[in-house]
Amino acid sequence: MAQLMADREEKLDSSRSMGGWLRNSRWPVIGLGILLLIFIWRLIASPQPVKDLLSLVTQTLAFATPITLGALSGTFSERSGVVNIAIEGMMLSGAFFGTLVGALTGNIWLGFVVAPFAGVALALIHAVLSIYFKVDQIISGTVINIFAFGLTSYLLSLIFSSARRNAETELLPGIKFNLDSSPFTIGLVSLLAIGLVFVSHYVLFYTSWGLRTRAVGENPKAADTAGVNVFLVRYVNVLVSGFLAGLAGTYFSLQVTGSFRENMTNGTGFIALAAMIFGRWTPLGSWGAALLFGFCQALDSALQSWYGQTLDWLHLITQSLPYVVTIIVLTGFFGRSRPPAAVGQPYSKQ
Amino acid sequence: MSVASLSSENTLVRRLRDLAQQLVLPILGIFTALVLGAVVILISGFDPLKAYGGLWEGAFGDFEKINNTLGATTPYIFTTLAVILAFKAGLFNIGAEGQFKIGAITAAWMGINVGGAPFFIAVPITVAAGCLAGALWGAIPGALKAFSGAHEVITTIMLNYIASFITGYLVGNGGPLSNPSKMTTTFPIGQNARIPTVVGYDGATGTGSTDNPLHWGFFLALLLCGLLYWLLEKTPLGFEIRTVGLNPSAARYAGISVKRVLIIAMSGAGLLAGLSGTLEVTGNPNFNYHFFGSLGNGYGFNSIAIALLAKNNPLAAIPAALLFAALQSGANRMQFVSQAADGRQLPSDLISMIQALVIIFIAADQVLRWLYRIKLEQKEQITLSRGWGKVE
Repeated sequence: MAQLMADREEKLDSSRSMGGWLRNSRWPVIGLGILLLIFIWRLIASPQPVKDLLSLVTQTLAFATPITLGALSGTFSERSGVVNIAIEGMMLSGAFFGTLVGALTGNIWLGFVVAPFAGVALALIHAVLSIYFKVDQIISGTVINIFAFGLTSYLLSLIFSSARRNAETELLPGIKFNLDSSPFTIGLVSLLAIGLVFVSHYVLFYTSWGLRTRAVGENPKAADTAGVNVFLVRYVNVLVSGFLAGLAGTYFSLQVTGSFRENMTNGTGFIALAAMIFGRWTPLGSWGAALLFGFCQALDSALQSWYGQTLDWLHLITQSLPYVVTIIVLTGFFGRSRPPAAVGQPYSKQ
Repeated sequence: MSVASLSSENTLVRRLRDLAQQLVLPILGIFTALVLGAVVILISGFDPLKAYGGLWEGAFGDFEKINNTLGATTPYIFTTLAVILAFKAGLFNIGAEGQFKIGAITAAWMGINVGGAPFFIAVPITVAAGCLAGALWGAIPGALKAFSGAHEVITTIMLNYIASFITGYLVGNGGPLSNPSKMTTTFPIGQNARIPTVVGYDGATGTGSTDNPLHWGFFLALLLCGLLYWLLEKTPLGFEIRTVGLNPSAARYAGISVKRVLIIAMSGAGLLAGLSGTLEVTGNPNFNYHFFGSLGNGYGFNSIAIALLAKNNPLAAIPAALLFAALQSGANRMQFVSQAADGRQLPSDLISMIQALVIIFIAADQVLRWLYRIKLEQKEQITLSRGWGKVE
């Protein structure tokens, strides 16, 4: 089986490290460079360059958090051969159930522990539909997204708005520090996300479980012949995917706002998918892409706070930037990447 | 003679039986979703019979309600056709919402500017502008797919966000098309650019009651369902579209230009969704004949649901769209009549959950077959889950 993977690994070898990712595609670097120039120009003009720089860095880390976790979620699922476009819905339900449990019990940690399992529950539906019932995986994912939106909106009105119950929780802790009396925070979920990038990298590329996962995603029949339980590997990876997506949801509700709004993930799950593709289905690459998307969003909010509402057209551009970049990434403009060969195909033993 | 009539009778019987067989799964799907919905209502502490009674009453209770429901059906039919046309070419168009918005705001802009012209000039120009804008917005993911293989599922979703940002900017505070006296709206379009309602209200003079929002676009929607059915089933272009949808490489070997077909299908889809938005701006008195920021929200995903429910049949889109519109028009009444003694209300969001359940059962009919032990029959199936960034 290791032999089986050799061919693919050779192709992917360079993309396994951040250096390779950057070397292979110079366009994101050029784009990033332009953004950085704008930023440096602004820093020079700024009365407090260090503070602005620090705020941009922490903001980038914050905005990149759900994208990173979402991209890891997609990586596990797709590496085992199951397309997961339900990341968005899983995030949304993670965000909601985190708040639900946190607010009802008054214990935010309980919410934090439960939230990922909301993602797991939806992932189980996705897994059963796409692995057992062999439903088209994109349709299954779309349906789960719609369902998650309906479920969270319904429960939000039923349990909180209609009953006028308090829907606020505290915020998760994080590393806090002050600079010139302005506070900066790096939240717990953000730190976890960074840790999980390296854990995922290790699991996927240095453990036998990771090897099996990749084999199942490339050539399930060969893996099956070699004695791998294809169904088990896919089920577990889709559930892991749901766990990570649910955890990503806690960023929105428990780390940032302390409450839940309808549709608060606002498409981040899809951006995460793009980050996964940009990162060539590798954890480190996905992280790099997520940081780029996070930087775009951080720049948007920084420009807002520097220039206020006066530059609406600039806001339009920076706001759209991650979405436009996502489309450009998909066109293969930054270098073509090859998805796992068996992704999207249900497996059936003859 | 007798043989001929016998065989034609047999055909009729067979057709009816086929139709009944095709209807079994959708009806079972809707039924199962409603039962599960009733369980949810029960668990939430309300009376399902009362709630569903209110739902029916709100959707079909009297003439006004029926008119309202049909009015709400109109835009869904167009956007559903937009999903179906793309789906026939093997494209999953999640971008109907963005195409709707771009069409609607373009129509609003055009309607404001040509409102002074006589109506037989102003209406066609306004509608054409909205359609064209929608078609162009739809052509983007089509071209991206054709030339670079970028998967339309993600590109259309991204284009939805971008469309929403662009329209938001245009009608936002101080935006180029915004009406300073009203939050996030354009000015209303000219009187002559408006499409009249069927009953009661005259948009051109602004007189009469606006309780009956059904406008003439509804009949255009019915017409287009037939037209699209004819196009897909009876014309060479339709054959090409269906062939590309079923098997792009076979289509390529058969000499069909896959790229051309992909772009045509997505532009057509964009046109239909754009038309949907256009008619809501120019014809629906409830929306006051202007574009506003949240117009079109939710149409994209709902239309996918309706298209799945209609099994991608343009003619079946009519009853499927009617079902979804009825659920939506009835939702408020349901919330109202099911109010508990302590003032708690059954949230109308229940409807979106029931809708999701309907689609789960229809789209994943394997689940229904398993539940009700129905045997699988061979049918044409389009695979959507091809790789994300891959050229085929």
